[in-house]
Amino acid sequence: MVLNSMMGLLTLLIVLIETLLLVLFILAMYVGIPITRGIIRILKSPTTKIFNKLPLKRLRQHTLKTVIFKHNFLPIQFTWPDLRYKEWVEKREPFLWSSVHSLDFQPLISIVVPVFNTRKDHLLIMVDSVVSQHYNNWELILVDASSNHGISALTKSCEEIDDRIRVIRTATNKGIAGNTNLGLRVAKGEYVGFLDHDDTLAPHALSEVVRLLQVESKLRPELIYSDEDKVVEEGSIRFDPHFKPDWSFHLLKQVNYINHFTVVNTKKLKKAGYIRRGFDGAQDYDLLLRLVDKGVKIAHVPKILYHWRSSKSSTANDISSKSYVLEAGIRALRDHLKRNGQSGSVKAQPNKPGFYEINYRSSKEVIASVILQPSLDLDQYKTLTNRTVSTIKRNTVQTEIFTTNLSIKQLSKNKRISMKSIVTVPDEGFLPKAVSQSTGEVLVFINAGVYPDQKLWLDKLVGLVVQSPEIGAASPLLVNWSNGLITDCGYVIQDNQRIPLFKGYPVGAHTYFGNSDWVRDVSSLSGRVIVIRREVLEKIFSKNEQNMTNTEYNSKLLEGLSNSNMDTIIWPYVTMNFVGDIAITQQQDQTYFNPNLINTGYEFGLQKIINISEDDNA
Amino acid sequence: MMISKDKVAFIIVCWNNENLLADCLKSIDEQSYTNHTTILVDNGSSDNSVATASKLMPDAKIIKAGKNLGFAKGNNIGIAKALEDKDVKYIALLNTDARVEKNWLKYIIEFAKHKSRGACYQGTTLDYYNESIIDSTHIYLARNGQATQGNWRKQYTSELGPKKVFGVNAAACVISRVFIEAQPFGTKLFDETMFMYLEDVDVAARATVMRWDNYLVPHARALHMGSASSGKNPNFSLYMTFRNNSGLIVKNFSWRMVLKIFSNIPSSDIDTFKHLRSLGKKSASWSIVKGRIVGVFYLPIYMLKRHKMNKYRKVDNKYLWSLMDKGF
Repeated sequence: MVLNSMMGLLTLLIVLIETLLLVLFILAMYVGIPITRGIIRILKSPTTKIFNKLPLKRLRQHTLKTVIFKHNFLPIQFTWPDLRYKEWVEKREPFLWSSVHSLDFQPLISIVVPVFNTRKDHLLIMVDSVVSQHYNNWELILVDASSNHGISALTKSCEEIDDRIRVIRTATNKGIAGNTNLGLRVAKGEYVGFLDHDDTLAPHALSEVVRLLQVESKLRPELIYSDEDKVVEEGSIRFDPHFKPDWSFHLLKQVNYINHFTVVNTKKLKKAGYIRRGFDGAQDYDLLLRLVDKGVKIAHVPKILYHWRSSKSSTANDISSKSYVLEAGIRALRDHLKRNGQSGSVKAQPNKPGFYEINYRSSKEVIASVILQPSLDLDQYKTLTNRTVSTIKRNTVQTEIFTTNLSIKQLSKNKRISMKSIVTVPDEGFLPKAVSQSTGEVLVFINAGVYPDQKLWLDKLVGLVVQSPEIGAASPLLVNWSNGLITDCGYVIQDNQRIPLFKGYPVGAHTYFGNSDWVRDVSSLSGRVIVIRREVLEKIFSKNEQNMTNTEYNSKLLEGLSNSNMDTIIWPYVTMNFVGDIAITQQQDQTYFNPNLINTGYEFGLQKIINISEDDNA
Repeated sequence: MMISKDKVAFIIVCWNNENLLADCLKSIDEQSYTNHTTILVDNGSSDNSVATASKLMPDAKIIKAGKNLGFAKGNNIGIAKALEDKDVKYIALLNTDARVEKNWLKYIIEFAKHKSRGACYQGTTLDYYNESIIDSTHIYLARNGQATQGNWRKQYTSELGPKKVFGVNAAACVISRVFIEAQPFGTKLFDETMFMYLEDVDVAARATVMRWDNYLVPHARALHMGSASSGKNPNFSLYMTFRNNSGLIVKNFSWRMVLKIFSNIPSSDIDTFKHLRSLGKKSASWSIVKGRIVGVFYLPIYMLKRHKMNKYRKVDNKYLWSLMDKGF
């Protein structure tokens, strides 16, 4: 501060004295309170061992830190961890919401919340978020099983906030499934939404969901889910959004990607039998699988309607890594397979709680025909054939492999593998001939440049495709293992254009669209590896395809697949090596870059933010 | 279907505002919710305010205070008179420089009938001179102890709430009778020691710490000219704001919250200082300091009032702190 007058000096003096007094006052509190509390705690402790162990200095530090940081004593600013997301939330999200006035059909929506020893402020903030909904026709049911009397009293007092709030008190804690069922049974609404006791809803949540119900009742969706993000434990800063795809059946069988915010038609929920006991930890996953198997119309709101309090995912409290939770998820998936008459083994993916892998195994003998697409590079083709044969050796499927090269000797005396070579000059017309000569129930097309590198890959892919009638074709995840970047994960549609999904992204990268190594329902495959059933192939092609060239055949196959209403999926449990056009940069002396970083070739982010300046009066 | 058995009493405090009265009273007359009466408290106007009012609204009750009692005392007199009628369930406060749209009262009362612990309600108050700019949607005490008008000067979008907020702006608001009777000061709702400025923040803080709820009902629109009626002396308003600030904090909050807020005050005061001096308003910064010093001398009075509030303070401190971040 530049002082250039007597008045300025006086003012500064007064402010300084005021500040000094306050600071002294505050310091006295800061030092006095923690020491007093520390001493009281020592005096109250059952043994004097604590007193002997902790030196006074460390005790003071510990309690001071607890008081200051844990109870938010100092005015510490918590900054947004992801500034890109912050910008999106502040500048783009407010313009995405739709109005509540244009709704003709306004059903009663019941929101059921099982409450168990919630932190008081989290509970109040949750109730506030429901009371602050734009949509008016809701009711909130709090099922209170808390053991703490103070929290029970607080929950009961929430009834006075609004006459649409009801509290059901149960003295015995029936577990999260039982408690939620208590609330579901008394819900009067036509639809039920599930909310956890310390999470919050966006104020537009219910109106966005109801907007999707404005169709005639035959077409009305019965299960609606939305995107979600996380909110910090202390405060309201949001981070880590999860923008979800539209209905992806196969992703649901790997992980409960639907999660929050879910709204279900009450009648369907009742017919499905509410929430099953005995699946605690994965009870909502089990409910979703049962609903899907019963057949529900599913809709997706591509907006962030739910904020998930992040205290749940701290490693100390991570409930999903407990074994009974993993086991419940496995049982839920096993029941799902049983209901659909599919056979396979379910196991939890290691180090990824909540993620599962289903290995489909067919009981009957299946023959697979592996067709290696011709290539001008003979060395590459030879490597491909050798690699294919050596990896298939470890599989149990009866296989016939079609190649172009006459001189490739039988590389194994394995009775399950038969090598067939077809020579056409030039290599045009190889594909239709190979297909017509093949006898397998499942056909696998592999392009040159792609190298299988896992054992049991054929078993997994063939088992998947044979047992899933809704799948048109599947493809493994193609990765360039020299730098760990994905080269091919299928194509999705954006702005009416086909764009490759996750191309150039590291395998397993955490993005706004989930991780890059999840099972994905995609719009179309690239055609480098296709695993397809013969009956699907025959539906696409008519009889006279003998005169097609390889390229024509490929493109017709891909087109036919994407036009059919069957699913095309990426099955990431099988990966194959494919360098593609993500080339490794040449080693130079001066790279102008850092050897520890990878310059990924694809900008994957949030929708472009339209800059609306605050001076514009729209 | 309006519940028209809930009577609403409009209270208007007037001090030499005869040119503003016509529009104000006309907007009350045109309300679609018809079950209301009006009480005008005249703070010793020297112009024709009283005569104008009685001509425009013959069935309004006019209370002549004789001299300028201030915003707080004027409203308290009006509230006491209004609550004598047992049918009155809500009190609506309206500044003379504020006008309300046709359905303002209807939307608010329809919203309020669900809330048994609702204390104060306001609609979206827009700037009279530019209806696409917000004057206030709510008020709150920020974490640095400064009273803030929510969304001030922001663009108006029609989907802003309804929200549970920290508090409401008294320019155009509705207060429920059950809250007035439940809080410890009776019909002396506004703190008369404060004379002007921050009494509505005081009521808001009082309602929030007593675990009553204040709401924003966004579809109910009102127009406010800003501090047109008292903006003649901005230094005076700064002085009064800072004079009342410490008293407000000490009166309503628990000691832990007082400490947290006071620890933020020095840095924010110095920031305000720098900002005003950079704008060249040196006398304004002097009024801030004067306000703070004089405020210290008023503290004993507020300590007495604090003792009355002790029994009624029930809110969870962490929840209160989270409300003071953005006001909702």
